[in-house]
Amino acid sequence: MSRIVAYSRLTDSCFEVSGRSVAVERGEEQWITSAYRALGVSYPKFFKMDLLSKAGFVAAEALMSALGCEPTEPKPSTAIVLANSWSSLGDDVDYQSHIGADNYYPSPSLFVYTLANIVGGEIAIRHHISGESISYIDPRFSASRMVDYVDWAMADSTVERVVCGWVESFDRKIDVLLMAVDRTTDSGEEFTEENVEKLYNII
Amino acid sequence: MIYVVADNIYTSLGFGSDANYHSVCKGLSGLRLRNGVFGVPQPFVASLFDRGEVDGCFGASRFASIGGLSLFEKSMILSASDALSRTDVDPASPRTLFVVSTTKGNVELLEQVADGRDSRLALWHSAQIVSRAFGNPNSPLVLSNACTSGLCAQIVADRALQSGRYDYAVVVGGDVLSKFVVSGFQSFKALSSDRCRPYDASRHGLNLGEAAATIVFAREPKGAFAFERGAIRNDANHISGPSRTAEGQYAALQYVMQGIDTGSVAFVCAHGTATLYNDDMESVALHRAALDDKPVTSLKCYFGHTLGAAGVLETIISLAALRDSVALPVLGYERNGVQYPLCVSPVMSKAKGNRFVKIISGFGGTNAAASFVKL
Repeated sequence: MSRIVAYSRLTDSCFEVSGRSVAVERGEEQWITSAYRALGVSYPKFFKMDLLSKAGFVAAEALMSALGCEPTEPKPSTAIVLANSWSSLGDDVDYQSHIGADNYYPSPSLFVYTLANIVGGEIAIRHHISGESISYIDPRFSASRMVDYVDWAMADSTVERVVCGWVESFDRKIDVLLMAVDRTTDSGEEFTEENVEKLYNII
Repeated sequence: MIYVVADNIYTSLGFGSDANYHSVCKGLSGLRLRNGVFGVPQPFVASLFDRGEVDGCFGASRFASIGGLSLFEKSMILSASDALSRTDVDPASPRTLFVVSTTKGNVELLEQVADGRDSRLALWHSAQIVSRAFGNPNSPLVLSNACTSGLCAQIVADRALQSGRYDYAVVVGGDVLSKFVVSGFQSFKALSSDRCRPYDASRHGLNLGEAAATIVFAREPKGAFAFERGAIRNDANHISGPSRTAEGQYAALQYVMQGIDTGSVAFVCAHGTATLYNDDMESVALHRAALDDKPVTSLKCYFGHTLGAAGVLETIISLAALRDSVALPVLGYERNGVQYPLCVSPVMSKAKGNRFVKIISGFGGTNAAASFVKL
């Protein structure tokens, strides 16, 4: 039975990592930027990311740090499995506003973020995660689908750990649950639909 | 391992896998220069659906009463319907799963709904329209993994069928073009001003294309071909460019080729977008995997890059080539232009072996590979 060895839950009002609340000093900045600063890491590329990637980055940073993982350590047996409901819609809306008939300035730096899987790519780059990476689209958060997705990722025999969860930023509202699920371990809660549902509902 | 029961391709080159395959064998390409299309200021080369024809076919189909559908949804339903009509699979059974692969779905609706508040913009919404058109009771799986989506969808279909919960998977890939998609690739300076030239020294970019493509897979042995083994790997290197050393694609190939005698590989159907970086990366990956002595083909010169449909469409064409023991030509190929020379040919050649390998890569550092076998 695979187990949840760590999790992070991030919304616009809550930042919790494996049962511990992260103190975020609210300033003039965007909430996600304050949450990033609360982590005490320096990763200048963060500021170039779209909101979806920023949200995924902050949650993944907290998760991997809770596990004591060194970001630069290669992780070929870790997979990234993400899902959300609205893909990159927030970025799509931004990009579309730059290609009107009267203001046609298509921007490559905006366009690159108009894909659902870029947030997974950003997490992979930061933490040197080179196993499988995949992104699914569901009508709403579904714990049962998440359990299927992770089971399927573990069908690849090289996968020992799956960083998985829900990363959404629809309408500029952040809703993230990331979990690290290990194939073989004795610690942590069992990776079941009930336990995943419980973590999503901790707030 | 899962088994190919039936398939369909719908592009500007025709309706049906046979029609498309025969067009490729005749050297026909759907790529044309487009001027003033979608309100894109600069001309571009692309393969586009005939809108009127798709509407006409849909209006004449048994699905005509479903109102308000987009070109994207209509083309996928018509494709899935044709593939399913060649089988005795019950699409309304809870033992049948729909798997939809797309990158941008109905994104062109943003031209009318600027704030994005419309469920038709959600990829799951389009996928539900497709699966419900066939009365399927399951929530469809939706894969959106950039340009690798179509092959990832097959890899996931394999795992879902192996779980024993389903007997059949209907994998449908689709994407259409719009000002959004074309301008984005133009902004990257990724588009070729003429027909793309995969692996050639003179290549300077890709062409885009529209397509819908379907493969119906079975869990139990059936038919003449099977999806054998697949892998997905990330470069963990860059979000919009491939690894120079092909880390992800090589790792994916390594996993897929375990226990496979390379002598049985008839050809490799690569991604071959004809961008400088992609094609070069693939040559590194194939060299590292000791597959660079195999015929390599790219189908982009016929269909353009069909995004979420590409992995499905290119698999189907390759299955037909495997059946006929041929390696398909890359139109207009003249001179090697990649780091490790590949066996690319401008004419059709014989290809011995009972397998082919499909590889594909995309933004977000994602790579996928899979092997298919003639039984």
